[in-house]
Amino acid sequence: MKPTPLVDKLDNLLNPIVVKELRQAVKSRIVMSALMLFLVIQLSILLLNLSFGDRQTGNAINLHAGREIFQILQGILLGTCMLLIPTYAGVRLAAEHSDTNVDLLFISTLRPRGIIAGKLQASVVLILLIFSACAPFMTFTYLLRGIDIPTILLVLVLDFLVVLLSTQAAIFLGAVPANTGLKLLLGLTGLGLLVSFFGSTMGFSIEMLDLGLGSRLDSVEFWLIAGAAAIVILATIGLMFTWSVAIVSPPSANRALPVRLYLLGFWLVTGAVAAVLARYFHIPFPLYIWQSAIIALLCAQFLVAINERQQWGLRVRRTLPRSRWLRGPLFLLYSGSAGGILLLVLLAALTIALPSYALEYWSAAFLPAFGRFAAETNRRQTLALVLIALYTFDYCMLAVWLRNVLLYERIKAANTWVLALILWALGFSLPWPILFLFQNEELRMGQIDPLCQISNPFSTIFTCVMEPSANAQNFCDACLLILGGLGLLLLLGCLPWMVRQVNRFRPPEKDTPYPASGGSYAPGEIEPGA
Amino acid sequence: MHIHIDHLKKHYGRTRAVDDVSFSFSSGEIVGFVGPNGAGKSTTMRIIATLDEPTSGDVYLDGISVVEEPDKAHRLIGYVPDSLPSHRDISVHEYLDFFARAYGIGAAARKKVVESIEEFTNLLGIREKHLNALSKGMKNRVSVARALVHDPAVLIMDEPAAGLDPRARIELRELLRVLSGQGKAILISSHILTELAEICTAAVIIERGRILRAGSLSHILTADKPHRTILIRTLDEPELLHKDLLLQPNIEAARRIDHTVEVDLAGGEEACWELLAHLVRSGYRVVEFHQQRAGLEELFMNVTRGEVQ
Repeated sequence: MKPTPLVDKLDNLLNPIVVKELRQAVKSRIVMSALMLFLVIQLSILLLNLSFGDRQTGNAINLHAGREIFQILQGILLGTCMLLIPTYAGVRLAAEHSDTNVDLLFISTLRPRGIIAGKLQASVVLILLIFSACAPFMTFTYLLRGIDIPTILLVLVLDFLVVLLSTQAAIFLGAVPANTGLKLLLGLTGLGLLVSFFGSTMGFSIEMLDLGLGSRLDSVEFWLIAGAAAIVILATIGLMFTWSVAIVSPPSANRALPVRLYLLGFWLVTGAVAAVLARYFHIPFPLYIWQSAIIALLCAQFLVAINERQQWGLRVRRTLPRSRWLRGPLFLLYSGSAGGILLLVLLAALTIALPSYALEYWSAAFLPAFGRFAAETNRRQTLALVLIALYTFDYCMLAVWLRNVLLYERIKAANTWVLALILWALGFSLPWPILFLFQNEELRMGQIDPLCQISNPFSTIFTCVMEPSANAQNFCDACLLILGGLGLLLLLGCLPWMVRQVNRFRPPEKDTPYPASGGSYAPGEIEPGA
Repeated sequence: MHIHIDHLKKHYGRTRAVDDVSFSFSSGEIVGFVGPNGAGKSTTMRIIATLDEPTSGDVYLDGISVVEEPDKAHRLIGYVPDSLPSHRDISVHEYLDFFARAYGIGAAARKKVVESIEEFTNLLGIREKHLNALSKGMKNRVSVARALVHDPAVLIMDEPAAGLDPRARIELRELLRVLSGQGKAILISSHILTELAEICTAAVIIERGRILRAGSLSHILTADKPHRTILIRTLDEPELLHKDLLLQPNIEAARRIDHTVEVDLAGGEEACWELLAHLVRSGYRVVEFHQQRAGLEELFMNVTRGEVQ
């Protein structure tokens, strides 16, 4: 049959990656076997429950039969989706990214964003396929009593979002360029993440089913929390999508720009959601959770920023404005190590300072129900975050300084994170053998001066935050002074390195004219050794 | 289409993978890119194909910079990498259709384009076969077909003949000749120099990131030699011919080898023509008269030192 122009137009709108991925999925024995197995298991469980369920309990009518079967079916659905789709998407991308296949896509008209979007869209189609295969069985549970339609829909939406998040996480891990060993490690990390997502989602949804979601649908609180959770999940999917796009983009591209712009948006949106929740429920925890999550995210970004480029190719430099004032903010946003470090320090300072300040000075608005404990909790939260941020800064900047001053060019800039992790591991473990050798008695008696372990972030944070004594307070002040002072020294030590980058961050002096078509010399006219 | 590689440099720390490489070639030319492993061939080709960015320098395709306008350059370049396609669960036709979509070829034209490429590269018989079930030679054809799917004016081929059996090599050679005849500019790297010499119109020899020799094949093969060596065979007595040749101007030496006489001739093409004209005028029944060229292999061994960085 000859395709109509409308069909052709629709065909042209399809992302090529989606078409390819779905063609591959349809032919894949793994996908088809899993789908068939999934259907058989669901059907068997439903039939077994219908045949023997009531007899086993001895009840004539089981009013919870629908909910009980739904929970089992949901477990199978979630398990199948979370085991199959993220693994399929992640492993396939990792395999393609290891050879030239992804490279070849970059010399087509496809963009990195289109490649990752295609992978995600193809996964969404597969998720919907499995969900739709499950839908008749789940709808049938409604007829068995104990569950209502809105609850079924809400749980399915939650499952869908969690599977989508897991799939995007798997795509992100699959996109990371790594050797086989590291890929295996990433695969295991991904599997661990999937299992933890599965466990927590199942636990949460079972609790929601037992509490009865249907009766809470008319409360503002329910929708506020559900909305906030959906925003946070979607924003996190977006963040990982942006990271994945940056990873598969060619090194010459300005890869950090979309990531940093998205990070700013993520920071603002999730901060606003946390503030709204804290204000509405009069509790500080949404803000604390936001602060902690953002600081963890910024620390991870910091570990990435120290590996970034220190000079820019022509492709990027020619996009820079001539005006210094316009270039200033771009320096923070464009790919580049020093700019990334400065932006992250700025964001970390704001993340810690703004909520702490708000909770301290507008406690009447935020925390009337939280009372006088607010100040102490607020202080501890702020202290913990400041210490985490200072440790990350100090270890990362020490790595940058060492690479630049002592190990110049012996370690690639892209491997600075490894140096930072080695330094962190040394800082964590070295105090123990030293104390064992030189302060053995005190070590056995547990009377070690905590300052002897200042290089160990866990020990310091635990002592400062968990111990309320006056000694701990003094130790805390000393730690802040030492870590802050060291951070300042390292910043000064790395200042020439940063200034060099600022100086390089400018458009080319003059535009090189392109040679005209039919250039000036043929191969035969080139001098040997040119 | 004129391709101009302009003072290309690519440095990795202290390693100069490509060090000030410049050369040009045009439509219809097949340029052999020759060098030992690690010489900078693949890096140069990846830069031309926009997969890498140079430290400095640029490549211009009819004035379009691959650094500045990679999107425009993508449409002009077909790149055949040194590794073969390894997608699972996808047939040859679907693979080519996917790349046709990736190059933005509309649905109406796509079917026709893919079919004509399959026909051209002799893939029609295996179009429904899965990629991972293909032999190396077939995969190689698929790789070339993929690079041709958007009808590029420039073809960059990195070791396309590596690991191919003799039949596949001959097919590839024929394919390249046809493509060159269609007006495509082809840059091809290979370690099989005898085959390159047969199909290339020009060659660039590179080592340690620097060009050692570049030019048309006839030019670089004769440039280093002080004289031309010519083989002459006639139906007459070779001894007579030998003596006569020694009396001719521009003849530096003459040697009898069985029924053939080999002479070292000073001068250019004009001197060759004059010698042939003299032989014909003198009534010799000439059945063979050809210049013996130094092979690409010999030149390669003479100019390279096999050094890597």
